[in-house]
Amino acid sequence: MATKTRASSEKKKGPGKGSKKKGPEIIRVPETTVEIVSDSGEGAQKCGQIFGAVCAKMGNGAWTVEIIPAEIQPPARSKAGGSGNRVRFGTEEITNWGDATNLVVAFNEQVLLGRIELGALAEDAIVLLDNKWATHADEDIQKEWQGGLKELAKHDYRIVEVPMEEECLKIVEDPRRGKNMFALGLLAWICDRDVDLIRAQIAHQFRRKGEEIYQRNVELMEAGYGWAEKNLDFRIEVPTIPSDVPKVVMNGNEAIGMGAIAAGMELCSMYPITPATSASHYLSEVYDKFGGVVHQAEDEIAAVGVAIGASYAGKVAYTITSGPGLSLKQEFLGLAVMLEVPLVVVDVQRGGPSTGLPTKVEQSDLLTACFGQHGDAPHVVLAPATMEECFHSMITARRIAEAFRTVVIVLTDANLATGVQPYPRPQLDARWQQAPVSLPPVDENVPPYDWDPQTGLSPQRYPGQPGGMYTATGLAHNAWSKVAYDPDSHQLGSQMRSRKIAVLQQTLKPPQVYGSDSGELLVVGWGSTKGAIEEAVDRAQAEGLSVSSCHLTFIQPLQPGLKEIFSRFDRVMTVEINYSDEPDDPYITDENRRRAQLAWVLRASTLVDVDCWSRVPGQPLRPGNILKAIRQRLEMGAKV
Amino acid sequence: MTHLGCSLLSCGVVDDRHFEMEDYQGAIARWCPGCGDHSILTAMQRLLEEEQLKPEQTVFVSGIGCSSRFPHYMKTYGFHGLHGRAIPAATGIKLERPDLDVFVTMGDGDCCSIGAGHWIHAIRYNVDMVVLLLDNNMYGLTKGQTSPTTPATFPSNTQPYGSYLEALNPLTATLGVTNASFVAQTAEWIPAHLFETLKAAYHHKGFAFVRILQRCPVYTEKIYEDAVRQPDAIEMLIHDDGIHIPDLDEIYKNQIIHDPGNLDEARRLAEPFDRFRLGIFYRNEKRPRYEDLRRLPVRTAEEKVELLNQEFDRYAV
Amino acid sequence: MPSESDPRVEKALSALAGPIELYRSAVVTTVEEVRGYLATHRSEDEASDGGVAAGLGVFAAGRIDFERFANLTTSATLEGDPDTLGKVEKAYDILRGISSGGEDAFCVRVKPGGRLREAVADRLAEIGRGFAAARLAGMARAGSLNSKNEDKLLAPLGFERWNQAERRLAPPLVVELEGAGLHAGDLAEFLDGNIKIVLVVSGDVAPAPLVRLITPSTFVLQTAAGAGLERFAATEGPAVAALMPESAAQFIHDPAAGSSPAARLELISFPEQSPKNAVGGMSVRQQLDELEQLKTLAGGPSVDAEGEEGAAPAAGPVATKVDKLAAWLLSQADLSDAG
Repeated sequence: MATKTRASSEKKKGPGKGSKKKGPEIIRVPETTVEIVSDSGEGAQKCGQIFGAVCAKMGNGAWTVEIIPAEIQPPARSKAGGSGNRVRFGTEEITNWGDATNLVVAFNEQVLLGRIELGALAEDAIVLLDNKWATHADEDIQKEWQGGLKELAKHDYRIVEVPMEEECLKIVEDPRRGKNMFALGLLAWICDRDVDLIRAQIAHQFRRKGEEIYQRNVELMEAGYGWAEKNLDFRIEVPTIPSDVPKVVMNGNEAIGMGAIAAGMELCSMYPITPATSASHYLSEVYDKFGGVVHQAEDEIAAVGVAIGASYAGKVAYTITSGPGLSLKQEFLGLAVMLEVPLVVVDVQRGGPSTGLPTKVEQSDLLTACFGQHGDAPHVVLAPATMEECFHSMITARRIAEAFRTVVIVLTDANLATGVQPYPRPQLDARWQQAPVSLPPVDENVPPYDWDPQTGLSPQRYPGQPGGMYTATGLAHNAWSKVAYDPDSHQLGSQMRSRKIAVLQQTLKPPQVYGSDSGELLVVGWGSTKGAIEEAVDRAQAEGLSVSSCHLTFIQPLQPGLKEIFSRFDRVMTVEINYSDEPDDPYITDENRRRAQLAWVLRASTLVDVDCWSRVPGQPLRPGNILKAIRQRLEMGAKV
Repeated sequence: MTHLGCSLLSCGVVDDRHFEMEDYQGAIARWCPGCGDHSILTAMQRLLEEEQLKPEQTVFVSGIGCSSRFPHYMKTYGFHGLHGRAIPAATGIKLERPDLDVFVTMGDGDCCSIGAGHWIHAIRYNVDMVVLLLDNNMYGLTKGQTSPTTPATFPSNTQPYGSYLEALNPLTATLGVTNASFVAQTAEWIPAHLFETLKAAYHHKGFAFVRILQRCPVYTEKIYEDAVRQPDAIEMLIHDDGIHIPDLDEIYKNQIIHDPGNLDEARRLAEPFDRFRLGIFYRNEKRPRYEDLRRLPVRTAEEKVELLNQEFDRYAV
Repeated sequence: MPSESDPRVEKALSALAGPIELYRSAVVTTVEEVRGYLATHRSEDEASDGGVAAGLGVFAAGRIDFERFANLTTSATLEGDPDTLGKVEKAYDILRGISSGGEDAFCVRVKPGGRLREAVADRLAEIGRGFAAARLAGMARAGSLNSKNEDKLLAPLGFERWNQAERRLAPPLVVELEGAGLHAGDLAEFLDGNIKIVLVVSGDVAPAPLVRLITPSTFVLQTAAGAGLERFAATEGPAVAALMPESAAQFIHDPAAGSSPAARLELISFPEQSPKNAVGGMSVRQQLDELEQLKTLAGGPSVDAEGEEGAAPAAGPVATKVDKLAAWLLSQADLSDAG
């Protein structure tokens, strides 16, 4: 939310100043962004999750982002160790995390300073800060606190010191285990959240912890609520518009897990890796009752190997991983393509290369997802852009994998994985489950790869089918799956596997353009950046700029008509969360410039001089920053 | 999971087929003349005939290496995958299709080197399958490189002055892993013993690991030269619950009575010794099998949709 | 049915949850496979644009041209002949009915005066209807459906016509009956394959009626509180159990426990009072005969041998019980005379 949206704040009229009867100032806004940040282990994430879910349940549009330190237990009171959650919510749909935070609850000044250094806060942000540090027994800490306050004073923040620790100690012995619920209560009063919904959400969040924990958490929350009511002189009001479309709210990894169930897939073979694991956690919790199995393999390679073995023998299986895991799986992915065994792979992207930024978002696996296998291994790559698409893409992925007997990689990222957004409740269809094929006898004169010479498609054959015995082999083979090193066989096999992808492309429709059909600049994006890009485009258009955007969901094969769409714009630029050289960086020329990943692919496939603007902040892109890039590129265009 | 094939559909249809050995023969084997793999292939085809396994219900899974060509030479279903990765694929097949008989053939490089991680964990999973380590102590397909089981000082193209390290012992390694349930050793040049060992492995419910000592006529002929010529170099583990072939008593006079139920003794006997010990070292059908532990009630499409709707209720706004 | 009946029925059903689930899983898988068969043989289903659109889901809407997708990806459907498909559909409906049935399908109640044999035979024939339907679908899949006999396959299939594979997949049954109607011989013909029958017996009953069913490969259990039901459920092969009043004999005959009758039979308790009255046509004499038989089986030579060695601690209590039994039998003077 830009600061200007706060302009509509009003002060309620009341009797003389300082009077207790004076009502609080009501800040009425169409949307706002709230953040809660603490040391790791103090539960700020849970607080934020509950708050976000309650906003969604009250009918607000919402988008939450987790603030995650890379380490499980970073040192206390460190700038880099801040952990928490950021919730942007509004009257209408919220499609991304926005630009800056308007209201922060911080458990110590150091994690707050860390957030400020990252530019997370709006200049006029309201800050609620635990003041226990002012009187801390450790003098160094007291000094840090004083220094911190001085630092904060350089900004225009409205700072409210809250005796969180002191208040919590009235209820619990260890405030580290309760401050988050107190903070939830503060936020609940400030933002006028439905307390019954909060209680219900606390019950859901702590469903495995028992009644006593639930009661204590509710008590703490109510204490926070009461303290705020008594001591604060402002409230923030974000109106809700009741909607009759039933909605569900969840993060992208849960959506992936549910999508896999809805798609009728029954074997998730995985190895733990951040930020993909929460999908398996969700599945492990519920899969049993669906008759589904989460197989935790001994390593990433075995995980995909088990999935491929299962797919070869019956129903398509899937694996969920992240970048390093994808790298390890590549040889097996090539095998699946060669064997024409259907397979669904979810890659929840994080920062790379190497171990990179394990908990943080990046979109840098696009090229390795498309081209990571040795040899020519044509397959499909999809990129859902929202939590809703995370769910629905799994159904499409399974069907395409089976219809085309190939690998489908679904690229999500840490932003989708951990972010929470409400979306329309899916209408489930039993046909998504798809029956397994029966095992009819096979005509011995029909080869196992009975390629249609036009499309390269052939029906899959399963062990158990009498007369159909063959050995699937990763060696070059002919239609009979016999090892064949001759030039014609390898040419034909390669052609058939490749043709399938062309055929899939022929079934695709051109992507939609967001905004005007033609103009000066087209911004092309993919994956989780959709909401931020479209918000930036909206703002740019409001400024009178001639900008549209286009979001790609099929990365391989690309949807048709791109060249034609691009031709209607003076400039085309991708916006991505992966590294690219800026054109004016030292030593960078048009020839040696390394571009963002989708830009590479688009340039190669359309021969259009596609530009790019990309960053690797380990955070989602902010609409405001994209808007700046749009302005800058348009100015550059004017110069040419 | 819905296990395709585990249904009533096939049990009502009369299947009066009888299979001859030829019915299990696939492509003509293209191993070198004198390669031990030939006799293993023959023993396997004999086993399938004796057990009258349905070719379509049988899957051979392999990695990469000379021995991994095995599935191509069987007329069953086959999965010839990646170097070292036969076991994960086989595990997936068996998890999805408990109705199938799954055989895994791997070489020593496949099993003990690049795929060693999978091997160790597969022992612990104890998924019901027959796992054959065709051990010729050398990388053959890539033309003579030292493998983990190459004896110390034995030369190869990568260690021409002799292998630097002591050979890895696949038997002690397997027997040392939690939940090992069947460990045997046999030799391809003693067909009767080979056959009986394969048969015992087939009948074992669980992960049946068989190390087959196998000659490579090109690279490691010398390693087993003495053992082939002199039965004295062999010591047979015999027992009522193990393998005992009276016909071989005359030839292989070194015998030791070993109860395959005795794990400590199995581990002791598996240690290096001046003779090759053949027989069943260990067998325990009471070990839990992963596929049994993970077997879940099957749900119909409609049931799943209803359950998923209940899930959505939890997340409903 | 279970709701209004004996709580022991619930107990039996919960002990049999494993075998019931195995059977049900096989049926559900059959339903899914037949659905798969029908889907690939009915052109209007899978191949239609609507079918493709539904299958691809919401994510594909607006991104995939369903008509093109249908044209390009659906290989010529394996057009089955309508007659065959019609029959398979009927079989599918039967199987679906079975898969969606509750636990009632595994519960039988013998009405007072009714015959145990008939009640069990009727229910097994009803279960056999599923096997018959599966045979029909299996034949259609194998392409071996000829138009002559298959109408019969849509009818109940008596246990006597089940083949070995079907008998191995048989689900368990829980049969409620009055002790007077417990004619164990009625069950003998059904004890094959993997069948498991639990009798929930109420009212007056002979002390050891199931003794007559003991054969080397049959698991036979008489229990009051349900001890041994888990072993019963886990056993492979035919098995019969009776939940009896406390006054009856309690024993487990487990074929897997050994090769001699004595090793297989574990006597848990023996009736303290001798039968006084005829029950359901079983004379006192017949009842005593059954007890005598139980004694003979339990007190075989191997128990003696173990007793002599004094090695196996488990042999102790059994031997003691056998001694008690022998003493009690000797006290039955009239029986000794008759013998």
